[in-house]
Formats: sequence, structure tokens, C-alpha cells
Amino acid sequence: MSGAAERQPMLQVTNLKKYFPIKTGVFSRTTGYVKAVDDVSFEIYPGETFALVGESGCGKSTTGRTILRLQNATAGQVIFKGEDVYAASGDRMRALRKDMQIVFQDPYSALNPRMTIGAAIREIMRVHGIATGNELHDKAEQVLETCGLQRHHASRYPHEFSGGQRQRVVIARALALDPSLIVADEPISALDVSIQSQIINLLEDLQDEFDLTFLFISHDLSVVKHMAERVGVMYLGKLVEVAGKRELYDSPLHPYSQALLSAIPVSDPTRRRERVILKGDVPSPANPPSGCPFHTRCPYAMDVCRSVVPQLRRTDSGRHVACHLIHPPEQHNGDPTTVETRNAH
Amino acid sequence: METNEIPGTGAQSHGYEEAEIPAVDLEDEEVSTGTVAAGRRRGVSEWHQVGKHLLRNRGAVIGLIIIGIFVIGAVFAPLLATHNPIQNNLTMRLQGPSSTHWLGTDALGRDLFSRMLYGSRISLNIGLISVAIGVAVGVPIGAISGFYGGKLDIFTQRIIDIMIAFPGILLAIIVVTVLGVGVQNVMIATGIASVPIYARLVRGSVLAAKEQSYVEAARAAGLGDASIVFRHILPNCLAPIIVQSTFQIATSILWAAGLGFLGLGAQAPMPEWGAILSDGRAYIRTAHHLTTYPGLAILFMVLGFNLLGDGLRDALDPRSRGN
Amino acid sequence: MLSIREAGVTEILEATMSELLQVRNLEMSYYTNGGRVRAVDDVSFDVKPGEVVGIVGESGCGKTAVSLSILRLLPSPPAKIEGGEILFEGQDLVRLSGERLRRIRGDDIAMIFQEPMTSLNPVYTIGNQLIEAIRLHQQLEGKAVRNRAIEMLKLVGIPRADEVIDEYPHRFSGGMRQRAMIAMALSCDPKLLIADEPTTALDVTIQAQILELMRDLKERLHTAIIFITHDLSVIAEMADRVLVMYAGKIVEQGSVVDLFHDPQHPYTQGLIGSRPSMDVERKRLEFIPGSVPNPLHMPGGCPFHPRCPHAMQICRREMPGETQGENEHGVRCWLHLDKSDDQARPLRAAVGAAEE
Repeated sequence: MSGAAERQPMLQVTNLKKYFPIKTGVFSRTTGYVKAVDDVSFEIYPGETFALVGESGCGKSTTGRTILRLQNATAGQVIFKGEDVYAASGDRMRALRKDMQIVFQDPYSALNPRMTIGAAIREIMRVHGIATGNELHDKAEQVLETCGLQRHHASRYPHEFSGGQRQRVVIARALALDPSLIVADEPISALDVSIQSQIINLLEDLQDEFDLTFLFISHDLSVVKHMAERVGVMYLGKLVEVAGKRELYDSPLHPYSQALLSAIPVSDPTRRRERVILKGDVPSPANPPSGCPFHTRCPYAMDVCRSVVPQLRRTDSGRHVACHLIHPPEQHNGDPTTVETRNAH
Repeated sequence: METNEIPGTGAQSHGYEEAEIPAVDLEDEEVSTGTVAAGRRRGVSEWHQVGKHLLRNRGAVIGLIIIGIFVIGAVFAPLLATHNPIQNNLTMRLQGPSSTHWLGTDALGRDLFSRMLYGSRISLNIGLISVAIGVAVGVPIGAISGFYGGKLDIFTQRIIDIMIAFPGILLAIIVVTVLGVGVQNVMIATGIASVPIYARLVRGSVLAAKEQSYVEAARAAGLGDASIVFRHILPNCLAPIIVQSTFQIATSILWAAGLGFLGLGAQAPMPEWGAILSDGRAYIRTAHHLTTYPGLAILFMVLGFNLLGDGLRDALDPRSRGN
Repeated sequence: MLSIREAGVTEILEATMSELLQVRNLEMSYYTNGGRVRAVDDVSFDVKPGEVVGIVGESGCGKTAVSLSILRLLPSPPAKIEGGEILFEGQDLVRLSGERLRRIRGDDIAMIFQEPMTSLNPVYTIGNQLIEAIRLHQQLEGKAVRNRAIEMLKLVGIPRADEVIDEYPHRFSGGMRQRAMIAMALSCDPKLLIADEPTTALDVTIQAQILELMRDLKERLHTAIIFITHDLSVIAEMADRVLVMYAGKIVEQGSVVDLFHDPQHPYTQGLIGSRPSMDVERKRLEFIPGSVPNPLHMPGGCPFHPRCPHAMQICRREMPGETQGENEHGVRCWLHLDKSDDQARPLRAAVGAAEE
């Protein structure tokens, strides 16, 4: 973590936006936009686990998908190993995809029910010319073994496996291409409690063994605390805080991070945490509040929060927070109401 | 990661590997004996497995037998027919079933059994070929429209709306009118008339299937659109296509009959089930065998295809094959 | 609020100390095409008035089946209650039927479900549904019903209750719907509220709101709650007593403090140990090997033995009875029972499976 600043980031996301048009009427006129991801910037360094946390609809999954170009971004830049993902041509994109893979939340829908798991893994290995013939079979079985399954499982269909085993298959499929970045989109939340820790351990083992970098997307703050080195907190399509894990969990700066962390139930019945209970619900991303998106629920909301969008800025301690409490708006240069483009550093 | 056999259960506990579901394990014993070859076996034996499962399905076997009987009847019609199917014999008109005329005779004294044998040649062809046309044209249209969406989808769907707004038979009439009268054109017409049905059906299934994350995973792995559609999406839309096809065979035969009735299809004296059925309608009170037997023949053919289709649907689905 | 509750309070005072609900040796099975699934197997527990009993377990462990058995909401077939009794204030619910069962369902026992999105009917306003529930079970008419409905919505913390009452469920967010469901469940002053994963579909900050609300309501209304969840931390926060279920059986029960500080059953220990903790950092998570057994092919003996790090010969053959520790802390595990040396032989040569 400490050396992270000197290293080149593996992935650099700058001012990423993904707006989904809202269409109404017979002629499908666009009447508005759901700003699923709104001006998000962060970077991930080689070998680290960067987590995006937030509640449903905060845009964390969409961020992961736009990075992989599974959905096209509305604006912004994604630089992966020095290469602009959105400038890549068809062939180049294909090659890039080999290097960045995704693990899905629901292992039940992530595997084609009509293909044996061996066939599914061999198919993608073949597409990328990793191996042919017997070697292909062997490599596919090998990657299954790496993920804690057995070689003969290759000839089985997905329905013959339990949820945890399927998730191992999904991980094996991602690993088959020998990627350097894996986007893990809620990889354990569909699994039984007793299985979750198996998968977490597997992911950590694989990270050590293959020097993987993870973008770990989750709503489960305790799992994130275990897995991640740095954490980005998202709210209504915006990053509100980015910090090292320890700093964030010990002393969250943004009021939303504070509330989110205090909302986690404590698994010790004798301890009661001082809790910030937020009022109201998450506003609809189709109609986000003006100014700071969190001001409708923020216990410290000031007048300025209603009109001026706070920017994600570096604090003295090297963390990044988007909050007028931390960076009073007087320090702004230029017109405070415009969404200025800004480098994270 | 050492492997521990747990005695009694047959389940293997493997490091942090999960215990097997015992039901699977029973089958697993035979699989794992193949050790190295286990992974390789599958590709060759996929169809073998489908066939094996199909033959284990009682309904499918009955369906196969029914269809087999019709096919044998159609192929060997010249050998099996007791009379010339188009020779009139006005002295024997409207006879009930007897030892000389097993299924009786029609208004012109022609032997119904022989006519139906020959008729099965045409009707089977109409059913199969029109479904083949419908599938061959409708499925790709539906798949492309559903997969790519957007303006293309809106455009295709409006055209299909228009086509579906016409009753299928009317559509077939229009096509035959354009192409000209004749059995072949009837096949084409009924085929075209079923295209919108398939296109709509497949589009719906594709829309559902493409939302599955395995499709996203295929894209994330860098697979091309064609392999995504043909290897990941369409195989998961098979069930409704098969079910629709078994019905569509019957519908096509009936459409063809309707066209024949209007003088647009099989021309008299050519024997075709639909034509026989509609000819017999006039005598339904006095000689009901003229409608009963062709009706039963159509019913059994549909039943046969239905049973086979259900069996095929299950046999092609690894989930039901497992059990 | 209290005035409405007064009658209930005196009743409860009269019935002090006695158990509100006693479940005795409950057996329930589903008959499926694949065979018989013993969803609830010899389950016994008590709920005292005003107490929160948590049932914790993974998918398919039978926790929902227990709650649906109590309310007799199971579709039959395939479900069948095959034995045991469910005594609610002395009446055996298993033997009740028709009108008397219906009265108990709304009046005395209410339920809230996991999916707030589907448990409200989208074609009626919140008010309509709430008023219907109140009318069914209380002798109120006209304006009084509506007032009561508004009062209930206020009670569960829905702002602008008098306007919101005329809105349709789709205008409500998940958290608001769950509040409305709770209002509906509480509208008839139930003595027992069964909450089946009430916060699982909700976000963390909304979950915190709903848990806070339920705790508050419990204090104010003194309603007993059966709280069903797979989330141990939620149980730790909510429950007074906890039942841990595995494969249709209760493997451990006790007060929430005993259970979390001194878990006795290897499954409970595994569950608690495998959750990443917010307070303690661990290099590697503990885990329970294997996966939840297929209910159609339950392992014999103790159902946990294929995954248990301490499994012994006897575990494979026989399900242990319950041993009672202090403070009604019960556990069903051979580790806590006398057995011969032969029976105690470890099932696996090395306990490596769990330690890896």
C-alpha cells in the first residue's frame, strides 16, 4: 500500500460515466437519464485488491462492467496497462479481454446449462489460442484442479454442482485465460454462509499464486475489510470516499461511509455499537438530488451541500473524500457549480 | 490438498473441496474410472447420450413408433395400397368399411385406405417441409432481432406484428396466390406463414437468455457474436422451438387442407389428408368414416410428433438427462 | 398507542411466565417427485411472551419450514406435518382448522416475509391493504379503521402517513414496503410475530433502520418475535435466544450470549468462525468444508458428520440426543455425550479436511 503511489497503476479509471436513457412513449423518446455511474475516477495498482462498496443501485456493478466494456461508457477513460480500453479495436479488445476477466455474483446463471464445464472452459481457451487438442483438455482440467475441483468434473454439467462448486467453476473459467485483473462482482453474496469463506480463501490463494489484481465489488463491508487493501465507497453513482482499508474502517471521513460502517450488525451480542441511523431511503438515480447526492440523508447537511457538488479531493493524510465538511467549498477555484474535470492526483 | 474418503457415504472430501451430492456421485463412479479419458469422452458421446435418453423415454418411443408407422406407410404406399387411389368406381360410392375397402370408399367410390396411404406422402412432406422453412427463416430473424435489439429489432418486430395480424391461413393464401397453385407452393406458403410465429417466439426466448450472465461471461472472454448466439443462446431456446414445431406440423397440414379446399393446394384427384377431410365434410351425416379416419390420422401424427418433441426436448437438456 | 395495547398487556400479565408457544417434536416432510424430504425433523423449542427467538441456518435447513408450519401456511400436498404439536397458549395448532385457525393467524400470530416487493398486492393502495387486514380482525368501522391504519403507518416510522396511505406499493421503496408489511402485521396486535428474513433483501443502511424499528416495537408492544435469518450478526443484534438449525434439526440452542461466546456444536463454531469479523483481523478465514447436503440424500446419523472436523464413528450411525448445559444451553453433538472408545474413533484418519 505504501509503495502503491510510486508504482504505475494497472488500471486507471478517469471521469467514467454511464448514463442509461429513460425512454417513454410510442416513439421511445429519451426523457431523462439514470446516472448509474457519474464521474468516477480511481486507479488500481498491480497485485492489490481494490474494493468498491455501496448499496444496491449505487453503480458499483455498472462501474465494473463499463471497465470491461461489457457495457459501453457514456464518457470517460479506462486505461488498462497503459492502453485505452475504449480506443481498442475489435481484435485488440479481444486480446485485452484475455487479460481482464470477471467473476459473477450468481453462479447459477453464470454457466451455460447446456455445456459441460470442461467444454465451457475449453471454448474460451481455444478462442484465445491458449492450447489445442489434448493439451487443451489437460489445461482445462488443470485449472479446475487449481480451483479445488477434480479433473473428472470437466465432463459434468453445471446442474450437477452445488452453488459453491459452481462458483469455483466460474472462477476457474476466469482464470483459464491467465488474466492479470479480475473483476469480482459480488462473488460470494449468492452463496450459503458456510460456503462463503471457502470462496474467499480460494480467491486469496489464487491472488498469491498467480499474482492477480482484484477489483472486488461488494455490499458486504466485513468481507471487504477482509479482502481489500484499498476501498472506494460509492453512493448514487459517485465515489464519495477512497481510502486505504485501515484508515477507512478506523476513521471514515465521509458521513455516508460513517453511517454505512456503523450500520453493519455486530456479531457480538454483548457489544452495542454507537449507531448512525440514516433517515429515509436512497433517492432514485433517475432523479438524483442537486448538489451533494447524499445531502437528503446526511446528518450534517449544510446549505452549500444542496447546491454545490463536492469533488473527490485529496486530504492531507492522502485519502480522497468528496464532502464539503472536509473540503469547505471556499477553497474551490473557479465556478463551484460546474462539474469540473479533475485528476485524482 | 489430500483427499479423504469418507466411508459409507462414498463422498469425497477434498481439502476445501465440497462434499459431493450423493445422487451425482453414484453416476460419478463410472465416470471417474475413465480417469484421463473422462474429459475427452464427452464430445463424441453427446449425441449418443441424447439418443440413449430418448429411447429410455416411454412417450418418445411411442411417438417414434407412431411416426415410424406413418413413414413406412408413406414410403411403401404402392405396395401396401389395396386399390388405385385415384380410380373412380361410382358403383361403390360412400361404402362403409368392409373387407375389400378397409376404411370404406368416398363419394366417387375411391378406396379411402389407399387414398390415405398416398395422402400421407404429401401430408408428411407438407408438415415437415413447412416447419423446416419456418424454423430456417424464423429462428435466425428472431435471434438477430432479439440479440442486437435497437432499431433493427423495432423494425423487424413491426413487420412481424403485421404478419401476425393476418390469420396464418390468410397469409398462406396470399403467398399461394402470388406463387401459383400447387402442392410445392403450398409447402412454401405454410412455411412462410409460420415464420412470424417462430421469429416472435425465438426473439422472446433470446431476450431472456441473453440476460443470463453466462452470455456476458462469453462476451467477457472475447467470444464473437456468432458463437455467442449459436453456442450459448440458441441451445437454451430449444425447448419452446421444439414444442412449437410439433404443433406447427399439425397446423401446417390443416392449413394445407384449407388451401386444398379452396382449390389452391393439392388438386383433385391428388390424395391429401386435408383434401380428403374437406371432401368428406359434405357427407359427415351419411358417411362419417370419410372425416373420422383422416381426422384420426392427423390426430395420431400430431400426437406422434408431440410425444417425440417432448422426449427430444428432455433428452437435449442435460438437466433432465441427469436424473 | 398504549391505549390500544392495554387489553393485550393485561392478558399477557395474566399469562405471565407461561410459555406463549411450545413446539414439541415437530416433524414435517415434503413429498416430492424425487422422494421424501424431511424438512423439519424432531424440532422442539419454546417462545416466551415478549421474547425474541432467532432461528439461524443456511438455505434448506428448515428454518422457514418451521415458521410456515406454525402458521399452517404450508401447501399440502406436498407438505405434511407428520408428528409433534405446536401449542399456542395451550391450543394445538396442528389440530386446528378452518375458522379458528384463521382467527389465530391474523389476530394472535402475524408474519412478515423476505420479499417486500412481492408481498404487497400492486393493484391496491397501501391503505386498502392495511384497512382490509384491520377490518378482518378487529371490530372497527368506517373512519376509525382508517385512523387506525394511519396510526399504524406512523408507528412504523412512515413519514406523511395520512397522505402515503392512498399510494400504491410501486411508489414505495423496499424499506418503506417492509415498514408497511410490519404495520400490516402489527395492526391486529399479534402476540407473536414471525419475521422470515425480513431484512435480507434490504440494503445495510435500510436494514439498520428496520432492525431499529423492530427492536423499538418489541419494547413498546411487548410482542414476541421469531426472527429467522441466515445472518449471524443480525441474530446477535436482535435475538434473546437462538436456535441453530442444520438439515431440518436443531443442533444447538441457547441464550444469544452463551451461543456466541461459547458455541458448543462444531457447526455453530464453524459458522461463527467463518464470518470475517469487523473487529478482529485474521489472515485466513476458517471454513466449513463441503456443502449443505442435498435434502433428498441426507447423510445418516448426525447430518453434519461429512463436514465435521471432529466426526467420529458413532456420528455416522446415530443422531445424538440433546445435552442441556447451564442456562438452557442445549446441544446435540456426540462430543458432549458418553460413548465407548470404539464409537469415539475418529471418522477420518487426519482431521486435515478442516484444517487444510
